[in-house]
Amino acid sequence: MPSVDPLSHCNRSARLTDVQAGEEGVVERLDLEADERFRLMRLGLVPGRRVNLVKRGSRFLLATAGARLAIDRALAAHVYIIRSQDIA
Amino acid sequence: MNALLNVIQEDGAPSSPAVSAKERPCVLLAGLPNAGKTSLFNRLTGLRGHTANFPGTTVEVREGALRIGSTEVYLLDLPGLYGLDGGSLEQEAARAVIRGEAEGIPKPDAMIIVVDATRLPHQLPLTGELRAQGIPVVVALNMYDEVEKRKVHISLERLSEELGAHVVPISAREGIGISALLEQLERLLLERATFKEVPPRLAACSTCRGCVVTARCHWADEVVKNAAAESSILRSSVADKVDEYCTSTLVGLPIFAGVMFLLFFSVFRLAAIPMDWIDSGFGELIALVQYLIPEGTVSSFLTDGVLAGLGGVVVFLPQICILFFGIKLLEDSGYLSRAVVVMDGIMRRFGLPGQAFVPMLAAHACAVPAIMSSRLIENPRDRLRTILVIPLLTCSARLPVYLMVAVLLFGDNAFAGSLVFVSGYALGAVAAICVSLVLQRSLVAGTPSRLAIELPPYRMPSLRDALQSALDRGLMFLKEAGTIILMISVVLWALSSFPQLPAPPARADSSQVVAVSGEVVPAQPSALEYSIAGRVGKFIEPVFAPLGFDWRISVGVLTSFAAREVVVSALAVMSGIEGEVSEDDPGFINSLRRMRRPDGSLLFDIPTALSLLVFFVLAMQCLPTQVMTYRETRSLRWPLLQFGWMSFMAYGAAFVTYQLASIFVG
Repeated sequence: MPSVDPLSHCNRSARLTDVQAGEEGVVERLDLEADERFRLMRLGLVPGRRVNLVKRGSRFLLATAGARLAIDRALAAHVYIIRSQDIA
Repeated sequence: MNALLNVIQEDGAPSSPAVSAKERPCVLLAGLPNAGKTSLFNRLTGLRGHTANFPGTTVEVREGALRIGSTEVYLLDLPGLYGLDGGSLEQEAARAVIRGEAEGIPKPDAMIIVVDATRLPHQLPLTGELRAQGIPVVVALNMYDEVEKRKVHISLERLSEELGAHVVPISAREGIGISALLEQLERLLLERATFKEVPPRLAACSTCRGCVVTARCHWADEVVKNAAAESSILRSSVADKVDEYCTSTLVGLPIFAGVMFLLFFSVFRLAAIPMDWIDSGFGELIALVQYLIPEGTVSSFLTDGVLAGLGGVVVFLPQICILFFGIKLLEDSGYLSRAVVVMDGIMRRFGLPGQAFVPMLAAHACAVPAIMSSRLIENPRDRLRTILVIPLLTCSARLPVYLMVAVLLFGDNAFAGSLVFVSGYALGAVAAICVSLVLQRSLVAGTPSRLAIELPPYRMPSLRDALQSALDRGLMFLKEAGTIILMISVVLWALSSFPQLPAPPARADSSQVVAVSGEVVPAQPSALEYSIAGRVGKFIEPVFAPLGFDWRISVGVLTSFAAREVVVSALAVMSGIEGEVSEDDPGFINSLRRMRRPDGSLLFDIPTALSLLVFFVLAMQCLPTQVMTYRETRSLRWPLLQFGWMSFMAYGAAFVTYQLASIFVG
């Protein structure tokens, strides 16, 4: 069950863990400590880039900017995206 | 393919005089992992390149020579990089080389940046970063054949303009565009002083207040938008589906198990053939030496010291080469990264990251290359934990011991014998898990880094590159492990040959044991007993007695402390010296079986054989591995600790095994 973000009414961004497989969006921020944040960014997962959630699970599969990434669920929980449907 | 050829011709350089030959220009090959750097390197250097270490580090680099016209160029293949600003050993080394600060490596004159044309937005941020380093660059747009096949349009002119560097479309695998690349490289080396300035837009990026990485990514996205059609980002829904299955526990795990089974099956099946050749080859050589040189110290030195040592090293080559051939195929195909995802869930529970699975896989051939391949683990603590548990996994050098014990216990019964192997592997793996968990809670604390890896596209692996990798690993093993093992073999030979018996030993009764009123009095010591090794063995016999080992096995354990497989030949020698090899049954295992203790009971009863097995599974008996641990950790502390606790574990477990088995078996 997706957890309810208390600020969701004033913030359109969603954690990757609250996004359904197949949904697409734009990365808004990575709410992680410097090292882990840097590791993700170096793989191309940076704010402003489009990302597609391929698969959920204990390891999340993402597609972004020509790359396919596998990241731990615990990291995915701190990646915030703005869903394409919310932009529209 | 025509379009590609046209492009190459349009882009072709005028024939120009060769680069000044006063000194070899140094050219770097850089790019992201899986961009096809290694393929291109192999293309450019043929099979003449070789792997070396960066001076003063353990980071591996491939270097080779390349001819452009009459000029020889020194080509250096940097490790696959995601960026220069990380803290890993490889990034540090790459940074030093690019800035011309690496000791023993000339300041680079040019750089070839290898870019996977099918994944431009992902590849270009690094190009931007490398572009800003002040070295003339040429961009090799690799896998261009694939882009053309899918009818995706990339404007090379625009891309060149945006990157401020010549872009040459190539296919490293098919060997297309290589000559155009070389022409461009030659031009670059000639025009050294007048290379294009860094494009202004990119230069501005590095001064952004925000994150530099983000800026580079956005720059890359812009470049792609300007130079290529939207569809240039190839994404296959088939790969999405395959990935979903390959990385799931339910389907992915059985697939993983199947792939591993196939890999190991071929390692053992295929390697058996050349191993037989090597074995009999060395047998022939030994016979030849014995025939040519009269029996004596020289002949014994050559056969028991040098040839036995060499044979003991070379015989492991087939398994190592085949395993690394397979690993490289899996890596190139893209599957290995998926396997890391599957294993991550399991390995994290034992305090190791998913990436540790690759070195641990290699450890089943040999711990030396395994420790080297642990470099792909970024987090230093995760890496240390991995290095420290690797020697517990069953390497090929343990197999002769497993085989010996299997035959000792069960004779020809193949099924029961295979149980010995299975329990050896399992005991090693369980011990590795336990040690990792203990380390995680004590000396090397911390949870493994969370998984975040790239899954490269699925591709047909190149046999040529896999072959090159297998050869590299084999040579590396010979260099790192071979020299040490050969040296030890010679030293051990000396220790077990000197001092020599004063009178020529009469083989038949030299070691007759006579029991007088319950006491054991050797009539005359055997040559081995008389030697330094024998004396030491006798001296430490009481230490190993609780494990069921007599002085002869103790000698075997001592001689194998630096290379474990030596125990088998040491025991063979001793059983021979006992003079109990019968004519009709020359198999040495049968003579081992007949070895007796002074009280007349069989030496290798079930408890002793089991305790020997357990001891050899767990003991740290490999000097090359210890040297490797030292070099990777840059501290004596870890190899010493490794030796300490593994010996302690081996002794303790063998003790418990022997005592328990003695109670149960009788």
